[in-house]
Amino acid sequence: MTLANDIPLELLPIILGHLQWRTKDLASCALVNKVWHKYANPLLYARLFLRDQTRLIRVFRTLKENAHLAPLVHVLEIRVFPFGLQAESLEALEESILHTLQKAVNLEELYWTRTGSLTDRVIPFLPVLPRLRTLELTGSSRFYTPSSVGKYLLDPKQTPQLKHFSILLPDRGVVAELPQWCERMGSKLESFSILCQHSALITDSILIEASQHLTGLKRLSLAGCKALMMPGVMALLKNSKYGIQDLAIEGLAMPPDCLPKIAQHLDQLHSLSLTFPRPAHSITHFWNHLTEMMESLPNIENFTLYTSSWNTPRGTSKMVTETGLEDTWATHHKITEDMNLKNMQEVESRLYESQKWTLGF
Amino acid sequence: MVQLSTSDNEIFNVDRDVAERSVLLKTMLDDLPEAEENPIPLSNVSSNVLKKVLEYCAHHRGDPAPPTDESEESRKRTTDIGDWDSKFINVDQEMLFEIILAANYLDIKPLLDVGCKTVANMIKGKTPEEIRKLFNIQNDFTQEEEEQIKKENEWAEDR
Repeated sequence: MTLANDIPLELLPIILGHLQWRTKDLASCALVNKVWHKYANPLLYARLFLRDQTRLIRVFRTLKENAHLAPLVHVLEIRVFPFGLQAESLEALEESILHTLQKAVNLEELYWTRTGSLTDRVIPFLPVLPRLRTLELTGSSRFYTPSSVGKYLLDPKQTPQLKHFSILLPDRGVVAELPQWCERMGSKLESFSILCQHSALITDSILIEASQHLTGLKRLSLAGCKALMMPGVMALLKNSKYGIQDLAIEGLAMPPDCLPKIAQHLDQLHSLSLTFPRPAHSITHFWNHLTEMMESLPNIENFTLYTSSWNTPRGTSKMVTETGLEDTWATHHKITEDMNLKNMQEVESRLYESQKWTLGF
Repeated sequence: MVQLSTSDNEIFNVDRDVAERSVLLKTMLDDLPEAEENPIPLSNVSSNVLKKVLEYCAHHRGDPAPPTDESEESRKRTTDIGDWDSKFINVDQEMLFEIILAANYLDIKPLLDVGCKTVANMIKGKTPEEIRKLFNIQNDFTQEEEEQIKKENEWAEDR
């Protein structure tokens, strides 16, 4: 054994950085010696993915008992929640979650998506989250009062740095409150995302109301809102003072002839993601409108087209080659050859799989 | 052509685009035109290590610049190493660390990554004791300290 077999200390953080997603390995590294512990432990706690009930309970117990650990947490994902716990255990868990959030002053991203984990027992006691930038919430209000979420979580007093917000499968109660939520988040919000599953609850008028407050948007994603036509989307695009850079509109009711119209408000757009229109619309028209749209997007670099179980065209594989879309785009637009080709291959492969392809939830 | 001189005073003649895979050398060559006439001294790098480093740079001379900010998606797949690179980096541990240190000093990010990923892969799946053995590390925890950390991080164990 020679000294040269030792890991040079200056390299240790870089090496451990490559293990940052591997919980068990980081836990082993943290036990090697004091120096390793110093670098591995912060990585172990930086990102807590909780997709396992036992782990969730243990993590929050640890975080509560060891106050020095919570400030290490930057990303917290509560994707599961143990139901059927006895009342005292549930209470203890909820208390330890609140306790952790109190101390988690460096928390930047919070994913609280498990229905039933975010309740009126917890929400009124949520602390200020001074660094929180990203928030993703379950849209099921079965266990919480939507206006409380606005008041205790989305208000700038509670989350002054909030920039990215997503809501998953919002129900009627949440949809009705959405404009008020947007008012609280206001112009500092840069990304806004609504993910529905073929739901008619999100309407154009709701989005028009919300758009008055969301004037700072750069990224917008709307998926599975089957009643949504153009006006709601248009309002959000028009009110964005910087211009939308990333847009995903998937599984909406927007007719293909709207595409060139919305393109007028997309001169900052880098990235676009679409689904095929309903089978009721002519696929040839869709390609024509899409091409027209692409021609008026000066900054587009990235394009993805999805099929879904509600938006599956017939006979499109042939259309891709017949319309010569690849050539058109490569010639007229700034989509790089490589990117274009990759996307077209992706489109093709998805078309072949379209039988089993559903909206990518 | 650029001349590089190593810690053991060997001179290497290198094509400029190969040398410029190193951000350090590129900056020097851009800022100091006279650097092209005189050998650039690399007092931290020995000739056997520089030979390996230059082999890497020559193979990757035409590569596009790496993206400046890596997305999370690409970081998740961080421990993948290309075929040529994994053959290239299949060296003894001492040489591995020397290459990584040289890549760090010369600022060759893709080579630094290949080296560090290789070490990260060596760590994967090992117990703390196995890691200590592998890298000749002394355990400087007291028993109480070790127990405390084990207890804190118990949740992270595979089940």
